[in-house]
Order: sequence, then C-alpha cells, then structure tokens
Amino acid sequence: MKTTEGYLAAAVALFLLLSLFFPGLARAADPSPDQGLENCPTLAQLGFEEKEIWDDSGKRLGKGEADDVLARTPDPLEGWNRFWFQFNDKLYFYLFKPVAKGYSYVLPEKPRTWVQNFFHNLLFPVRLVNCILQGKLRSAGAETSKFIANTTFGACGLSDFANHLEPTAPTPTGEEDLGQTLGVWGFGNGVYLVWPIIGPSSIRDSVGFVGDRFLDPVTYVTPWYNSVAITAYSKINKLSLELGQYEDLKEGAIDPYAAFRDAYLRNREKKIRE
Amino acid sequence: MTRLATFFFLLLFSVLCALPAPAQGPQGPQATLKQGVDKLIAILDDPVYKDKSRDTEKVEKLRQTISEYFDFQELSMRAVGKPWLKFTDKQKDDLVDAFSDLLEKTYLGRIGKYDKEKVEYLQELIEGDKAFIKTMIVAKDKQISVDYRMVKKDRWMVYDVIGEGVSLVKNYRTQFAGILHSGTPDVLIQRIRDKVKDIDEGRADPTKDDIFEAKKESS
Repeated sequence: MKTTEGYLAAAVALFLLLSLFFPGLARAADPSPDQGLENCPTLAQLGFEEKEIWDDSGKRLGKGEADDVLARTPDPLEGWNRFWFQFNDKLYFYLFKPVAKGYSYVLPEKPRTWVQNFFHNLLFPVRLVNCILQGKLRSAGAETSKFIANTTFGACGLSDFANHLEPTAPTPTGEEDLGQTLGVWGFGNGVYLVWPIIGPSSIRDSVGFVGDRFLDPVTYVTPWYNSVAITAYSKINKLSLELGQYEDLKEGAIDPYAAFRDAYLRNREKKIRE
Repeated sequence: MTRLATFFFLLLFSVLCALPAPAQGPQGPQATLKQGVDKLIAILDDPVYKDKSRDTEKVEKLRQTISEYFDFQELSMRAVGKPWLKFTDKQKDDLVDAFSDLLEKTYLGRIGKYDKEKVEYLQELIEGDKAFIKTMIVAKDKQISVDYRMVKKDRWMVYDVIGEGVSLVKNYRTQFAGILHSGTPDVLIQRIRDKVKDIDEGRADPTKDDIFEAKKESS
C-alpha cells in the first residue's frame, strides 16, 4: 500500500517537473474551453473556418498539425517585459531618434552607408562561425569571399560591392547568429524577454547574443568605455538609416507590445528555418 | 471491342484532364495577384499623380484597387479566430469596417514609400479554393520575402500577407486575443476605431515634427 502511494507521489512529482520544462504537456492534459466549439456541427454553416493548408513558410501542414512558435514561447514575465517595452519606446522617441536625426542632418546618407558596411564587415567572424556551426558551408564560403573582397578592394569594408556579385550557385543567406544556431540545434526560445535598450529577445537569443559578443572585435577594444562608445555609435548610425521603420510597425498595432512579440518570434523562426 | 475500350479510355482521360481547368476559373491566383500588384504600381508610377495636389485622388484610387483584391471579411474573421462565432452580425460588420479602415490607413502610408522595387513571383501553391503565393520584393540593397494567402470566392482574393515570416492575420490575432480575453467585442471595435483616429490626427508618433509645427501655426 505504502509503495503504491510512493509511486503515485513520484509520478505526480515527475509530471509537475516535466510540465515545468515542457509547458505544452500541461496544456495537453487540460482540455481547452474551445474544444466544444470544434465539434460544433454549425461551424461550417456559419461559414467559419480558420485552418490553414500551408504554414507561414508555405510548407504543407499535416492533419491536426499546428506548430506555432507563439504557443511554444510563454510570456510569464509579461508585466516586466511590458515595462521595458514602454521604457524602450520612450527612449527611442525622446533620445535615440532625435540623436539619429541630428546625426543624419550632419552626415549625408552615402558616408553613413559606408559606416554601416564597415561595421557589418567587422562582424564577419560571427557570421562565419555560426554558418559553420549550422553546417551551412556554402554560405560560410560566400561570407568569406565577401569579407576578403570587401576588406581589400572595398576599402576595409566601407564599400559592400561584393553584395551585388551573384554567387555561381544559389546560396542561402549567411546572416547567422548564435541564437539561430541554437535554434537549428533544437533549443526552444525558453521564455520571451524584453531587455532595456536591446529590445525583444528570448532566453535562447539572449544566450546567443552574449556568445556572439566574444566574436565581435569591438568587444576587445580597451578601455571598456571606448568599446561601449563604438557600439553606441554603430547603433546610432544604423538607426539613422532605418528611421521610420519602428514607427511603421507600431502605427498599425492595436496592442504594440503583443504585435512586436508576435513579429519578433515569427521573424526569428523564419531565420532559423532558412 | 478493344477500339471501343480505347475510345472510352481516351474520353475518360480527356474529361479528367479537362476537369481541374474550369475549377481554377478564368484566372489563377498568381495571375490575379500579379494583376493587382501591377495595377498598384501603375498608379504609384503614374506621372499624373506627381502633383501633390492630386494626392487625395491617388489615395482614393489605391484604396479602390486594394479593396478589389483584398478580402477584408475573410481577413477579419481569421484575425479574430474562434471568438468570431460569438460576435453578433452588427459587431461583425463594425469590426470589418473598422479593421479594413485601419489596414488601409497603415498600408497606404507604406506603399507610398515605393521606390521602383521589383516583385518576383517564386511559387504558386493551389489546393481546392486556397492558394499560397511566394514572392520576393527586390530593392536596391536588400530582398524582402512577401507571401500571400488567397481564397477563391467569386474570384481569387488575398486574405493574408506574410512579410519576412510575420503573418498579418496572426499578428493581429495575437493582439485581438489579448483584448478579447478580458474585454467584449465592442471593446475591441472601439480600440480599433480609437487607433484609426490616432493615425488621422497624427498622434501615432509623439515626436513627429510637422505636427508640432502645424500646432504652432494654428495657435
């Protein structure tokens, strides 16, 4: 008798432990309130249908298969995340945007593109290592040729002329980072996170972000405040070329926080698929 | 006897071959989509509208073209999801009206930034009355993947746009679900109307310069 109770307790403990790591399990065990509607015979009569034949990448979905990154990525820290989302929003409109605007007033677009190309070229180690870690050897090769060509003939990467040279065979993008590599290896997002200044992320992508910094040459600039200043400058320069994009995305949103969470997670998912 | 069998076989074969063709209607989904996109580009390229004073006319023409190819009813229904069944007929109409208004407002602003980008049609998937079209917008220095989901009613209509992996319908479903979880359909409809008003009055961006200037001038 005692042993059965022991087994039961062990089973419950195991289930609780598992559901902690795989939130999907708990949801599967708990019948969703929508299930009654699914069997409702009047659904077709009402002309209501929401099942898709293809997923967002155009892949044919099997029966009952609905793999949704949003359902897989819980947001238990929503209050905390919403706070930082608001914080970043204010920071953008009242600090970064005016600075980037002033900067773009002083410096014409052309030199700003050179600066952008230079910093992009500098991040070549991040792309190369992550291409290799994902087994994308052709892309790794393409990134290497681009880096060599842009660094030598492109004046230390100021010009990105190699971007216009088509590879001889179709080559998947080499824009890889460690977050994507971890995703390819099968790591889930964990939970959704919003960081101050950095913005939307997840546990997996945060780990990736920190890991990638080891391959970013700017990290090794000393003293540390010079490194921070260079990073800040490259970000402001990048922003000056992308002014209005954030506003465009935010403009149509009823709940901007939810809209950006959805967009971030789905866009990352697409990058991991590629 | 064998000749007769061959004849029947050929007859059956030709009927089978002929069948799927009328099912697709006069024009396939990709051709319909291309027609719509080309019409929009033609309006944007039209030198007649270079004149700023004819902007309202241009916007009206764009809006009309979009509504010919976009099924806002289907789009709204899918963006709301299951709660749609609990909406009254009036709430459904109100939501479709408010939501299409919002989408037109935001998207017209975005198409206005069109700068001679090219659209490449990559793949057309059709199954029954549904279709999935993959396209690529090729700009000067980058490529943006834009896919379309279409449904066939009287003709093929677009009901979802997927830009860089982000589905329009699903993005709004995520937002609507949160609002409908705690509020009624009327709350949702009101939130959408408020947003349209915000855009009309230029409140979407708190630091928009011309708004400040316009206020200064009026005071």
